[in-house]
Amino acid sequence: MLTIRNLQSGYHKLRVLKGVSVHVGENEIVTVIGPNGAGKSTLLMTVAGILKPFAGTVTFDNTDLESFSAEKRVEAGCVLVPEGRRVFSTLTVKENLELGAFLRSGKNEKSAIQQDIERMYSLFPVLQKRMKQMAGTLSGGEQQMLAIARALMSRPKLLMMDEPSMGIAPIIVSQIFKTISMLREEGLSVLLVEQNAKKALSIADRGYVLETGQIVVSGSREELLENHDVGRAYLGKDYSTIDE
Amino acid sequence: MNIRQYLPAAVFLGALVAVQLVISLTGAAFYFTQITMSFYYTIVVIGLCLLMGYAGQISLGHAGFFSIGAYMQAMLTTHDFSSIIHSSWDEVFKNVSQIFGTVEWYELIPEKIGAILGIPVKLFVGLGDIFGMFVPGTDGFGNGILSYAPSAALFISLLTAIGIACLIGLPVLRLKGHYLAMATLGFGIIISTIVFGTKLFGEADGISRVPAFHLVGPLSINGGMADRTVNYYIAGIILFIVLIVSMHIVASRVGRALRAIHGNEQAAGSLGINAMRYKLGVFVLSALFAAIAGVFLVHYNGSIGTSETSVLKSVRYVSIVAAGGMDSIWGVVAMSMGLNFVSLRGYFGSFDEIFFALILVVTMLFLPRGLFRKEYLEVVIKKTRRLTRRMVLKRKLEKKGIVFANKKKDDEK
Repeated sequence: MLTIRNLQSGYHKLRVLKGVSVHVGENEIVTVIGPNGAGKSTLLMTVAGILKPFAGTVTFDNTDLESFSAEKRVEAGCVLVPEGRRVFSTLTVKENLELGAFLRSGKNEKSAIQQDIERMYSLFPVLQKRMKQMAGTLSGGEQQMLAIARALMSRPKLLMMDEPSMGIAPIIVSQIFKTISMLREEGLSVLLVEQNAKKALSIADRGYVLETGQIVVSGSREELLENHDVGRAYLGKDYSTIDE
Repeated sequence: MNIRQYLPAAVFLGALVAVQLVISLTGAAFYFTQITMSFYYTIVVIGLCLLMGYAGQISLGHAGFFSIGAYMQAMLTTHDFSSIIHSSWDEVFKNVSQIFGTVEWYELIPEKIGAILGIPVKLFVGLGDIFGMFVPGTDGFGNGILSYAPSAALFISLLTAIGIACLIGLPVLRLKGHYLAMATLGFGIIISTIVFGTKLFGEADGISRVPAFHLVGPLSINGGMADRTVNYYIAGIILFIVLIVSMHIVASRVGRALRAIHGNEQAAGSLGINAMRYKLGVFVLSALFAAIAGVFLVHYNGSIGTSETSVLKSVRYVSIVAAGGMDSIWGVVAMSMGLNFVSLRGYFGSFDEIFFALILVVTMLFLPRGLFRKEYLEVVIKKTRRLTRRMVLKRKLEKKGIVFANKKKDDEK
């Protein structure tokens, strides 16, 4: 579905990603974990077309995305839930959802969009309750749900999520992750970037560990969970032995 | 748009007729002049409301776009083009270069550009004659002149405004916040300076003797006493059309996109909204509204002066939008009609500009969301309802002989 080969990217002259290769298969949840400043968000922003890569290729559905603008990539079915939620706080919940379907403007789309909104309400019932409320007045967890629902409104094939657990109550994070695995059952592919490695690996099929712009470890969920270094650095295992 | 959204529009039309009847019946027809002018200024303000309130992009240069419309229209309908019509392209370039300054840049243009294009001046004019682009008139000294018909001038003026807005908008809209304000401010000053230094635009004297704009049948836009009521309605209807167009834009998915850009440009981008395209679109539209207002107002007033190009005019438009509530079209329209009318009647005296600056400061400090907001209205209604309910209850109890102890007396005890 999504193949990133030897991607180098960054800001102006600062090279953050130093040759990253990541693959997301059809109907798969793949996570990229890593510490602050590793380049996780840079990776997603480059795939989403907000940043231009210095080198390397991004292939989506067997087409090279190089010439695609950010809008075109959304149209192709590759959508990003940005870090820190970024809902439109002065718009209502419903308007936020409608904006998610911005690129679907055909004649017959109106009722389809309405149906999709209903579907989002069933996925995240709290959004229906808050339908007419300004998005800025929602709690952090509700805003994250809204951001995900908004991204889903464009009917993506691949959902990219940047730290959905950031600043949210653990119980809500579990709830959101449960919904994500449910969506995977329905055929969605997910690229999940997380600092919360434990949570991310709980739903992911495979994972990559990104450190200072390079992939240092990769493997299936089980492999990563059993990897000694990953366990110590990201899962909080073995800390007692370090102290001694 | 549903029926409820049309309600304010119906109220607007009703108020238009009601105000006309009241003024006509009380015989105070002189009020029409200021109301009509306020209508035109309100069109500028609505455009700015779309740009600032909805898309979140500030412009301190809208007096510039107003002036482009007004000055182009005034110049085209009053300048004598007969000598240009009968000259060769070479002479045309010479004249144009003389109008715009001392540098003889026409020499830089390939001499045979007319020949290359293969269009003689006369043919160009001939086409104009077919379409009735030029009409004869007289200048201030009674000499016969040949200038553009207002309808032809209208297209040229508006196209000029659109073109300049595109040219300015593309680089300027990449800026944000204060920088955008500064850049548009600079644009306003440039337009003002050009007008002051260009003979064609009358320099400091402005342009007068702008002819009437004949629409259909007996309808014409002019400042004559006899046509005051008619012009009141013409301006009201033009404003009404602009309002309906704006309301449709706001309620459509374009409107949602604009508000998304206002909220967060990057997040809007991640949803597939091309922020630059929409920002430029609304910038050009608001410039077009300002130019439309300028074009019609110059026919109504019959003249235009340099004060219209002043930066303080731009500040005035911005302060009206701010006081009206930024993203509430009707609040902004009400505020604009009220303030412009009061200002044009001269109630602020020589403190006019100070007053508008003061309004801007007070709004920003105490009413950052504007004066006319639904929430405020709801609070007022709730408070008065509670007060009346309490009064009624009190009276009922008093009738039964129960008197409430006064709170003050309780304290004294």
